[in-house]
Amino acid sequence: MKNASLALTHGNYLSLSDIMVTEEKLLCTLTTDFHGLGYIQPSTRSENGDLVEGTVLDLPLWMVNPMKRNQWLEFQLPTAYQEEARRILCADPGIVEFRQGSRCRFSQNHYPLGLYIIPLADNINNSSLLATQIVKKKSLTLEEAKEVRSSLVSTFQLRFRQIMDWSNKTCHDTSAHDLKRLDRSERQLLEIGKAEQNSLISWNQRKKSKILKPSTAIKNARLMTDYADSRKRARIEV
Amino acid sequence: MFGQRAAELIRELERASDDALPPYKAESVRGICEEMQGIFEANCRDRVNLDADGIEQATAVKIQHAMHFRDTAMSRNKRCLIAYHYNRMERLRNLRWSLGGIIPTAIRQTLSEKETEWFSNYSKALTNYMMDVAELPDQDPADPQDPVVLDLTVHQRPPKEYFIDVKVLVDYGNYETQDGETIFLKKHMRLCMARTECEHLIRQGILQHVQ
Repeated sequence: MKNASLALTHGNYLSLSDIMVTEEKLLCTLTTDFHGLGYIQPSTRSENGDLVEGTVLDLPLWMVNPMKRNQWLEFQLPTAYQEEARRILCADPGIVEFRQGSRCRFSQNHYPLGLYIIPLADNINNSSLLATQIVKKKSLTLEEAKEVRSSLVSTFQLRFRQIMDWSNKTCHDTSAHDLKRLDRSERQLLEIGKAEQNSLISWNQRKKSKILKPSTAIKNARLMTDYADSRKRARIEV
Repeated sequence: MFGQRAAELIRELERASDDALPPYKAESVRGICEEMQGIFEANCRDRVNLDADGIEQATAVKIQHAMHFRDTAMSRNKRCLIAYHYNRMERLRNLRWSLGGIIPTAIRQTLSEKETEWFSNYSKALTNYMMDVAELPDQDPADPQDPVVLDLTVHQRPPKEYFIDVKVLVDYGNYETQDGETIFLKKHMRLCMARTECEHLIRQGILQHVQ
């Protein structure tokens, strides 16, 4: 069965897409020393090869999560979830492109990544934060996490309407330009919607196809071997 | 940084379409295992350092942090390896249900030795189960007649007709049907066959269903 929906893959140990989400990098500042790991960030290591406090480096989410729980690092909220990006999403979520290279660096895993980041918020409210002067570290506060969460929800609500529209109206291909704008989970939703719409249409017209089709796995494998064969033949001819 | 090869491995499998089996990356898997071995040895060394006499409290804490760091990386690598093999196994099992007990050569090349072994074991278990299901209650077990097999892998969607028209797409050679007759399958032939017989052949791309 296809694990299409985000609810099934989020946090699932064996899910490939969840592994890819947790591979996303966050900019972190270490708040403690690590013995002998200086080779990870050679530019700032100490003389005896330690990874020292204050080092700034990109760490994948799977590393940030347990380290943050131990308070060994502070991470910076990715641009795509910061105030400016939230304002853009608030203005009109429909036109934002969720892909690499876009403004504010929205990623293809906007929703699942956000879901992972929100629980990492520091459980201190703003006033005591000011008192302890940690503000300069730009870490995620509880207030901000709440805003990120409500922004995720409203973004999804408004964009979902558009996806629903597309899947109802276009029984053919949605243009590549539109597809590029979608988050990965949104794209899956669109595909499910289109498939259902098509089967509804064919049921309405009593046109249920009875034809048996060859397996796609076979087709792919055959294409691959054909390609390898043609390469081999080309090499012999040369 | 740790875990990059593992991420590469998963990315490749994730990019392939849902039921495709890309070639098994034995070399990457071995590389990841070596990385894990290296992490394990480094942690063992640090453990010994921790036990050494006269170690400062500050250094000990640093060492513990580093061990935790490496341990996280090791768990990550383990997760990637398990997920890689599990997902390939899932796809292989789907192949058994759609293509029958024999893997086509094109796919066989992409499997590892263990996967081929698993496939034949799974295939055997499934066949035994299908024979059990088909066994009639009043049949004498001491005198097994022709083993009856209820093929569960055909008719995964309700069939509309018993016989269907098919076209042969490749020169296949002799094919023995379930009632013992032999048909010579040659390219461009048109046949009318029982649906149960040819479902697997259609899935394998040897026959084409025409209406």
